[in-house]
Amino acid sequence: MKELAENIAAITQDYHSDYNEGFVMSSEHVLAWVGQFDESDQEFVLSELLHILNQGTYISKDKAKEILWEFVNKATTFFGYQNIETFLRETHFINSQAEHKSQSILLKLLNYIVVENTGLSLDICGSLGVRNYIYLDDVLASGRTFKLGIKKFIEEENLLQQLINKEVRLLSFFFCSHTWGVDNTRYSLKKLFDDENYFLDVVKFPISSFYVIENNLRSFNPKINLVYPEKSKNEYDAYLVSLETAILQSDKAYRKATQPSIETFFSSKENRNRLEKLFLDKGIEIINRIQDETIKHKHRPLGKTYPSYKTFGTGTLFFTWRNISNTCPIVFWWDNPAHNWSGLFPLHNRGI
Amino acid sequence: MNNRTYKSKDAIVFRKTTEPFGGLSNMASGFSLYINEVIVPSSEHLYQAMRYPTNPEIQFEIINQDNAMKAKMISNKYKAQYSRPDWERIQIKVMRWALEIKLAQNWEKFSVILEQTQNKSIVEYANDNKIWGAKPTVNDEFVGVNALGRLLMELREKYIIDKKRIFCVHPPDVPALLLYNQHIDIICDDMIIDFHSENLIEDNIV
Repeated sequence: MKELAENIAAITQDYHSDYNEGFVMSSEHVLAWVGQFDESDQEFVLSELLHILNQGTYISKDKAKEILWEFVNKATTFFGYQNIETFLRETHFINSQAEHKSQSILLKLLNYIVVENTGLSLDICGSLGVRNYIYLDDVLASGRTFKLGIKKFIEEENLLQQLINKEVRLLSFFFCSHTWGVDNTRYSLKKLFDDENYFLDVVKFPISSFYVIENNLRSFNPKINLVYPEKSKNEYDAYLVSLETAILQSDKAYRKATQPSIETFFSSKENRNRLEKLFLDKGIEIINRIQDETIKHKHRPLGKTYPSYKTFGTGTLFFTWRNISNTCPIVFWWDNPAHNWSGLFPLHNRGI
Repeated sequence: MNNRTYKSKDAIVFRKTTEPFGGLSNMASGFSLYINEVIVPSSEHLYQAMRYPTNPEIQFEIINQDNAMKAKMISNKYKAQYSRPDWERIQIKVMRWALEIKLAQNWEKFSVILEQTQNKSIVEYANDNKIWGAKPTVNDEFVGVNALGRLLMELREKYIIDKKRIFCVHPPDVPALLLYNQHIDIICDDMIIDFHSENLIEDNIV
């Protein structure tokens, strides 16, 4: 088990390294975290987590720089430019979030790697007039932040008609996107803009990502590469019933037992079921320790989701060096001694 | 459905999607659909996909074609071997349903086109003898079943003349209406808007 913990710590070594909070990932920390599970499950949890991390689900800062540099090159070609400089001079990177939020931080990192590789900085962006807009962020889960940011930007800059006519172009790129969120967001944007079909057009309005979480249960053969339990214990149904004000998407709480059709993400179908149950059980236990009922109902065992969804949470299994997404199962990030739980990846800037 | 005859001067005849009234064609782009949280690029893609309820991989291939003509060609490749056996009996019902969804989910754009046809006959120009259109004759007429035109006129009668916006589309009375092995139930446009505009009261979800 020590070796498993060391391997996990090695992969996630630079977690929160940008912050001066004194947190340093270590095998001791990993062992302390997994020590919160039942003894008979600890080795399994670490082994399955390592299996998941070995599939590129943790993005270190160095990896992030690689991804961003590759993105700049691909975007240059995608938009039909011969060189990065001209591309940048006709491009604007949308910066719609607050200073401490992911988009701002990623744009600073992007600037760093552009300077490092070309000597140019993002200050030259748009100097020849803007023909291309880029929305960059780390995770698209429900798509709410993206949807609201894009809507506001398009309205404020009055860009809709130019986008439809292809006079300007908009490309969105994420380190990780969830297919259910992407699909629903496209449709939401279509409705928000008076049924404008542009947002459903994958060629005119491309949304791409480095890593894709396939969690749209109704799509074709989704990989379901996240925590998405199947129906089993009555206690799970009882938890869903307790979400009195959540009335939507109850048919999405569980995946079918036949999904995914072939297991390609977890180490086996049985191990998937086992880990999903463990995370769900522990997540429900933690939530049940919350005294304040209002706060209790704001959270879900498998991570944040829309409050109106009668589901267990998003279940994200994707992590970056910068900060864990609160759409990951709470066993990863919940930190409250009063609830007898300490997370593996502390959550920076947690709202409550 | 039986053959009909239409006089050119009394009809709106549509052919190429780039010509006036091209939006009436099933091949027209810009009228995407959203079925079971899957983006379907056109009513033609949907219609063709419905032919293969027990072959989700064929449905996937059809729906991922970037235009309706290609979707039709892919379907033509598979129909002899994989088409649902009752297709000819149900195809009109399926097309009617696909057109209703096209209207419900593209009301602003599609209702305007239907409105512009006023009360003229709507005819799809055809070169073949298939049921969907009508062929031109020497008498400046069009003759054929014109099923697509007639379904569009039905749609116009039901929703456009009295400006009754359609929000919910019920599935046709057809067994095994499946997309990627999932049943397609009633499709309501407004349901999707409601929960995506809800406000969050604490820290944001990404």
